[in-house]
Amino acid sequence: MSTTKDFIIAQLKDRIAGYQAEAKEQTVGRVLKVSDGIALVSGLSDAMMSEILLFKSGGREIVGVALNLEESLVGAIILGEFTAIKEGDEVVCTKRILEVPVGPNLVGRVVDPLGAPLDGKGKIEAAKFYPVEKIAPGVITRASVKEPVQTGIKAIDAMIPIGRGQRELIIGDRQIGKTAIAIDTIINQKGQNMKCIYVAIGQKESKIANIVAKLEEAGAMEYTTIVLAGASNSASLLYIAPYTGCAMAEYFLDQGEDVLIIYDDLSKHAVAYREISLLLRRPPGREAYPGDVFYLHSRLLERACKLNADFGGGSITALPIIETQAGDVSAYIPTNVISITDGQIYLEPDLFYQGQRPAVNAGLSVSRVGSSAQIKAMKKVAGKMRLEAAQYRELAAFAQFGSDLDEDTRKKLERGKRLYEIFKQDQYLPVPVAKQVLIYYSLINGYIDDVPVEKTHEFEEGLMKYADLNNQALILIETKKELTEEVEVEIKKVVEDYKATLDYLIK
Amino acid sequence: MKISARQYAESLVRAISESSEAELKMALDNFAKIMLENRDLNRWDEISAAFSKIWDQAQGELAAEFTGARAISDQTKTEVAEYLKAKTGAKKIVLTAKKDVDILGGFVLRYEDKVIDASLKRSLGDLKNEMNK
Repeated sequence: MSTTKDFIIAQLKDRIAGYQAEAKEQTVGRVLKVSDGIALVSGLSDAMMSEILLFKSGGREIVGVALNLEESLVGAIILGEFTAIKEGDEVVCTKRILEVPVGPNLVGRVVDPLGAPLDGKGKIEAAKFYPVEKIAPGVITRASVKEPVQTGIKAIDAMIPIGRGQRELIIGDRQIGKTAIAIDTIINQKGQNMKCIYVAIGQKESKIANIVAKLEEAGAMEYTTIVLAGASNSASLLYIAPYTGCAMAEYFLDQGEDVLIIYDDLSKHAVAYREISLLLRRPPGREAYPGDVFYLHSRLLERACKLNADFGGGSITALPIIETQAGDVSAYIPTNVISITDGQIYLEPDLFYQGQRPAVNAGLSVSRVGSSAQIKAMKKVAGKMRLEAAQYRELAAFAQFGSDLDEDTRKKLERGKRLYEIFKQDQYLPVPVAKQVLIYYSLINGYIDDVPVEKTHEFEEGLMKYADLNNQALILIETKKELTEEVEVEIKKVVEDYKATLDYLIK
Repeated sequence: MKISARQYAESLVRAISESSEAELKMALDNFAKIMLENRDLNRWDEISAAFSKIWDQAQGELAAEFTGARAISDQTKTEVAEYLKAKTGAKKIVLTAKKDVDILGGFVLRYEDKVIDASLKRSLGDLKNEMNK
């Protein structure tokens, strides 16, 4: 035992001897005023923008960030327990810009906006520290969006395809399935060589607990990080959360990997920023948001990108979420974010309550760059689907007035009904792209015309099961990614064989 | 446009530097008049604080506070003053010495918004943090 004791003492001596007690010059200031997560600090003449400040209060060190640099004052947000900070407390500059731990060890974890674990799974060894705020990659480094992100949601993959490196907004009222789309997309990334980051901003912690459980159940936590700034956190933490998530994504981007990042949701982020700005006495503008609320979101979403091969070829795909009030997309924040993103998925309450879930509105939803990222087979079967779906809705509304319709219109209406039946999809059940091609191929080639509308769902389910058993066609679609004659023959065979087993077809 | 306290102080220092006694009197009168015209008399505290800071700077004067655990000898004081002169380029150091047994040993030197903390208390604290890592 004595050797161990001696060993320990020797080690301890070494460590103490090796420890250099150096006195460094520090810049200090005093808290003049503290309120609601904001502090005004005197002194700190050489503080930098978004520098980490340490508030020494009650024997503890609380982290803050400098946001306003004035002649004799520094306005700072406090990231942590601000009730412990008192007037007159000492504040020290750290000469470090706000940074968070990044790296592969964050995968599968739930962390707060400063990168500290919240899931009780122990300390996270960071590979590196990345600054929270970073300028987006420039023109030279980028490439055009050309690979698809398979969301596994039939309506979206067909009508509003998303590409790797795209920014696609999910917008709609509360309780209408915005988060559901995001979570389904994460679940469907299994085996697609994609890292996922879900940033929860101002969400209920119970909802996040549910999401984590669902993702774990689906095996999706293996490639997912969750950054959580809950409803009970201060506005300062909500404000930095999306930037933190983006910094974590940028680590994987720099490794040449593809990342999907979800900001749920940016309306609460804007509200948090409004709170901070008003407390810092920045002048309010429209809807009391500060003048730079556009820049707040544009600098965040600009960081989503597809890099070219010279720069590693990685990508960050962003799916920001915006919650509208009573379907008002022309409010300030929704219009801002719509104009920043490369398209939007608009979820409509009417559709939702009619049982059309996901409630994607075909007319108002667009994807500005995604169609070039679709696989060829999908493009062929779903090329005009968005137009047809939008036209069907108008036609259906119009057709309610007249009873006699010409043959052409009637056919269109019948096809449209079945199309909307196919768009219906349950939560947590993403559909692989090959199966989507199969079902859309059957639809546009008239194989579903003789299936009763109310049986469409049953038909679809049966067809998928049948195709799983005779999976020649699915494998062919998956490998060729194109509708060659050989593939078409195989698809036709599967569908015809399956239909031969049915007894509910309209004669 | 609102004139900041710093702007007031800077212009005052410029107006009265290298002026004769008569000129000085006139400059002070005018300055008071301008403050009255701008209804800025209630900001006198702010302005005077800024003025004394800028005045000190212009004169090369630097206020510093030196805290030690024991009584501080005159030799230490001059050495510290020399050190600060060399470091900041100030011409004159106004050093206030303070005894504080709480820092255990070493010293803490404060000037402007800078602190050089070479106290035993801080070293022990740092060592504690280091060992806890």
